[in-house]
Amino acid sequence: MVGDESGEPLGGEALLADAAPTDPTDPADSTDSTHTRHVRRQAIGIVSAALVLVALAAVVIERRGRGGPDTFGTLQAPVTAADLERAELARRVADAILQLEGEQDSPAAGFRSTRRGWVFGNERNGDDASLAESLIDVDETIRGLAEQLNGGDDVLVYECGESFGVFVPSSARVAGVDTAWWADNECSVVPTWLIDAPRYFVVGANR
Amino acid sequence: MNPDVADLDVAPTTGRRLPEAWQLAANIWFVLLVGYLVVLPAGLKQIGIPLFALTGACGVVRFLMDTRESRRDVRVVILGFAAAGAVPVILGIIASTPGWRDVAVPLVGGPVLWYFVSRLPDRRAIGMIPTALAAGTIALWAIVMLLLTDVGTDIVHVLEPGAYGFALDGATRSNFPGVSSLTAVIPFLAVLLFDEFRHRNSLRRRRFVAAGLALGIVAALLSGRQGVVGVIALTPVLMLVASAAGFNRQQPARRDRKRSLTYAAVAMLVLVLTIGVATQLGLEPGRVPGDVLAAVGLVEDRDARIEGSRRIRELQGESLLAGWRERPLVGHGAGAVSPDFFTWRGFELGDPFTVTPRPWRAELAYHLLLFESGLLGVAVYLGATIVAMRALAHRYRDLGADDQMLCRAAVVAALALAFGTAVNPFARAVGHQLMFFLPVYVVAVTMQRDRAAKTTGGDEGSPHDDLIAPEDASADR
Repeated sequence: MVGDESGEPLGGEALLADAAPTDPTDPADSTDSTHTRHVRRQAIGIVSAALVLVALAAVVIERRGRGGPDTFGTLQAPVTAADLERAELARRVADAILQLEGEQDSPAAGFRSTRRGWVFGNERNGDDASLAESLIDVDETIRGLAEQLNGGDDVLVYECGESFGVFVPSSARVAGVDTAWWADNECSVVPTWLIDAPRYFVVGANR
Repeated sequence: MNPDVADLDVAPTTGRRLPEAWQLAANIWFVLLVGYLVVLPAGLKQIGIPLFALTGACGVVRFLMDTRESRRDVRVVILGFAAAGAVPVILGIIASTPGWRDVAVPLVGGPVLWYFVSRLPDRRAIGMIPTALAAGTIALWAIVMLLLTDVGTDIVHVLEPGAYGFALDGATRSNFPGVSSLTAVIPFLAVLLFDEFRHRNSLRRRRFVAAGLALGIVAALLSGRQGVVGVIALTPVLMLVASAAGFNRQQPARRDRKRSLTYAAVAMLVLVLTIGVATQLGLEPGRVPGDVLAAVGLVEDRDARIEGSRRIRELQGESLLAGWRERPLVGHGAGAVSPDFFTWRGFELGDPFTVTPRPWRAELAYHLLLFESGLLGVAVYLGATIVAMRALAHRYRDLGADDQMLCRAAVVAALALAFGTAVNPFARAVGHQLMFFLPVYVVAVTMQRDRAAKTTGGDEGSPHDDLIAPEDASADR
């Protein structure tokens, strides 16, 4: 090992300050000196090559990372009547939220008064008021659709920027404009984890 | 020194040693890595990923060169944490959680990586750790100053686009990922200098290390990171804890009045300069004592800006505990997403929730562990920690005075990081994990030397004399 052979203490030594010969006029020491310089040059070359490798890999990762966000919503499953009703429920929920947001004195509702969250409740989500009741006050058909769909408890309003998406489990085909909007705005893919495919969604900004 | 012993310094017992140039390169690389991880322990993944991949690959090659090299203690200690991390991950796989792969990287992959990396450095690289940490800390201080003075924000944004710094209402705040490193690095440097003073141990580049400590404390205070400042303020307590755990067996040296006065004078000078600079940057020095006390929870915090992140942590904590109560024994598995947690606006803190949605992450790492793996996972981690501490304490007794100093500093740093992990997920960042395993690295290298001496029957002398610099001991004073 470089430096050890001389018996010098090495613990805090600079890594390159190794077994340098003490007498450069001594032929044996000169050989050692040449060897030491050679070792150092090799080591620096190896480290430099490694740094270049890391830099190249960083460039590749950086470029690959510029691809678009994950897209979702292209559904292939057969579309049943229930799927269409759930999609209709999502659209009505989106319209009702937009209406609520347009009213100055509309009630604060949903998760922490954001008008986002699971529409038909989750007792542990800290609701200030029931989002479902606020929406039903705006559009009574939401209640009927939800009852028809066993409570409609899988309706999720998820925020993206200034707008939102309403997600439901349904194999109805998602409008291209909604899929594109969600992708273009780099919206979260979290709803895809919360609602299993097939899922349908509608974007508030496109209503 | 017996040349046989010196020959065996790198690869101790039966194995093949690296060619000189490769070992020197491995040492340089390791020291650079330590310095880099102080500045950027997380973030800038385009560099972090290849850096870890290359370093790990080199460690694997080194391992394969000599699979017979016996370092059972190191294996048990480091890979014990990988085994403990596998518990929540396996539970996550069973429960098909969405984020188990993401969580498996730091919980299992991290310790495995650091195990292989432990094969790279030799004694010289380990001896350079204080210098590397001090250099990283000084770089970090420079970054904080660039942000607060707004003269180099654009430069810093190359490293971290979200970095910022400002002064408001007599307090300063700076956000840069590396500030978190100070949680462990400052206790490390503080213990080194304290032990060096108290026990007269030899510490190379003492002034540089002291400068790193002073500037690191300034950077931590100016950053306004309460979690970091709070843990740093607890360093004396952590030193006592480490002593109680068996990491202090040296007798104090006789007091040197002149030396003590010199230390006090330098400390006062640094304090005055710090106050002067901080005042220029907009910090109200009178606030500092109150803020530090607030950071360790002794007084009520007056800063409304910190209230937001504290509230988010409270919400996360409540939600995780509620989730844990649903499955108290085995939890929900690593990468689980609570129905009401993470998924709603208001729980987000940092880009994992916005730029790259990873709703299985949380600030409160121990709450999260309980949520993920229940009492089973916590018990396994506790077991791994006890095994590690016992193994380290056992080896610590056999170390030389200067190795003990380094090991003790590393243990206190690891304890500080473990404390900080309660409110910041340090343990789940592969870059931060090095500070957890540093005590093992220190001991491992010494074990190599001990075994080598015993194997050859050579001149054991002081197996730790590499860290003692007799002829240079006064050069840096």
